[in-house]
Amino acid sequence: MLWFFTAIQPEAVPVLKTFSMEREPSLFGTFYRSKEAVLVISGSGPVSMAAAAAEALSRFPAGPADIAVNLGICGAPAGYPYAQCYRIHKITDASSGRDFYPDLLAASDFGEAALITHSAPCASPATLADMEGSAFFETVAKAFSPDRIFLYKIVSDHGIEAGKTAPSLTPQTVTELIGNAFGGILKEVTAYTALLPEEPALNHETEAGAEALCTLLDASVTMRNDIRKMLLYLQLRDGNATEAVQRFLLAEGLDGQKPLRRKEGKLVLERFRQYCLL
Amino acid sequence: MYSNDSGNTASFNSSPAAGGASLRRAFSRVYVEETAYAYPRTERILEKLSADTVIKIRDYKNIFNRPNQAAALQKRAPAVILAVLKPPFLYPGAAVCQDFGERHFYYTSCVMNCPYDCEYCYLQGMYPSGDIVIFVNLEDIFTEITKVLTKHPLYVCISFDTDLPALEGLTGFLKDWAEFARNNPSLLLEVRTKSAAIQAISALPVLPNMILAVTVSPEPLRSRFEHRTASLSDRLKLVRTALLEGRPVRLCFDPMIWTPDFETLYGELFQTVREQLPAGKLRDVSVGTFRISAEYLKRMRKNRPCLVTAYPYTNQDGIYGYEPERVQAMLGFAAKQLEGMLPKEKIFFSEDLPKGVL
Ligand code: SF4
Repeated sequence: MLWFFTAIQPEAVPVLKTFSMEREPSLFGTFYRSKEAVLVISGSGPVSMAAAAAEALSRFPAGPADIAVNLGICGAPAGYPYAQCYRIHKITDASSGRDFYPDLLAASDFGEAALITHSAPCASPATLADMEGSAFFETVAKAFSPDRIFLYKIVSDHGIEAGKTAPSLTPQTVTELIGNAFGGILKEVTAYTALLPEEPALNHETEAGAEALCTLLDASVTMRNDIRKMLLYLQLRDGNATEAVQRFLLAEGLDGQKPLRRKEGKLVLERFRQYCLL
Repeated sequence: MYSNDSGNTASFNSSPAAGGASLRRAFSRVYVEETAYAYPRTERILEKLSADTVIKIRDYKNIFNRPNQAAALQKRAPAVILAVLKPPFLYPGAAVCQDFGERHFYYTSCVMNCPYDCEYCYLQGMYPSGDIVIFVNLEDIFTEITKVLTKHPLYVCISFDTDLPALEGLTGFLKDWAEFARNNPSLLLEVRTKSAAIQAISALPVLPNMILAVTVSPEPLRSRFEHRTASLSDRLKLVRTALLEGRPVRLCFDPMIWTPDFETLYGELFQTVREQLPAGKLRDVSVGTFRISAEYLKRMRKNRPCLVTAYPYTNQDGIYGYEPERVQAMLGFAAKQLEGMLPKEKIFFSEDLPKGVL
């Protein structure tokens, strides 16, 4: 599942156009969801982002291969060209002084930059500057590992003109800026999920064997854990744990037996352990 | 650009995955602690790395100790963190490590983590990250050791939590350690490696108080579990070269890994060693079976289960190892194989052997 977080609606349009999403009720910000993605439009500023992200994470549980993406426009000093998209490798929260580091493990076509998050628009940024990045990272880091947190920032201005409180941008311009980069971003984050290691687990067959053995031995929670560990060992050693279990049960005369009492089950489990060590 | 001198052809795998993404080049990201810039080593290492990105940080722990990291993936594309080590600079040797009869056994970590990727490596249970931290203030460690040396001699393992020879092309640390050891004869250093860094080792002065400890494993186990390390034959080449140069060399059959064909695999290994090395010239040999702290094993099983970590080990006082009978059988087998190769006082076992063996 891909999770997109934006501050304002125009930044979210490319996401909404790509996935056919349904609106979800929410207390903070606006939420949308489809089978493949979650979209959180938080509202501007760090407090709105922290509140909306926390609510979304408590509503929709994040899986171990999910990716969190903060998409947004940003201010930048003169050296960063207008409309250029950057992957963020360091985020500094201007008010607390704290730094956060996404773990950019995959190669990318985008350039990299540091980001500073202010609580109000920044007149003359020293590096890329936004109003949500640090709150986004700090909140989603509770549920996502740092390699699965991405911030893509697109340069929309080079500070605020004299006499104004925010850069003048139309909603269409914002959507266009994000839209131009979105295809590349989507490709990159989707591809990253293919690099993630598979969850360490018993395969389907071994899982069934484990369950059958647990029932036969009337296994307690501790016994269950031991059985699963032993079967994982057999699976890794032989490529298949069920054959070994079958052989053991046959040798013990337990094939097709009714469930044992736990006391007896414990003794059988100890013999099974010895058998695994052969 | 840095490339290691491990003598093997295996490299960091950054080939694209099914979805088209590929991991970035190993060491292409470098984090540098602000205070590390004051040390000339930082600049030297940065020059060698030619990184894509150099990120200034306040404290290496902000990167290295991030919660919930994808350490197994990081091992395949590690970042380098240049940092300044803070005290303590020396640690007493751990109970699971052999002391070789040395009374004042310590170790130090001038580098944390290793460019190699052994599936059974305890570092995966010890560190939350696969990135490599290089401490640029060796002098502070030297000052501490000099202080302790005024009280008693020291035996210090400097390549426990890493593989210094594999990183020598990048760090140049062994040269500095050798210089320090040359000036401090009551200091005995051990440099452990699974590399075949012949060039790096041959560039060092030959010193009686700097032991090169080379770990060897049967080639089928090496290629299965010890990713990116030098092959057995390359490691033996390193040992031969070092012996020819007159260096004190320790050969480590530690950890020995049990498999159903243990005797065949290790029998072949001992046979190869007998044939290819002038064993009598070795300073000593260490023999041990796989053992690990319960806490580390728990973490490793969760993050990266493999055949070695999944074994149903026996817990003895917080240390997991093979059942005592199996340990005795494995050590006994090794003892038999080593018989006549070198005097028994030169063979050190991780556990006591039954009386009469060796
Ligand atoms: S060479 Fe040693 S330190 Fe390096 S990964 Fe292997 S076991 Fe760990």
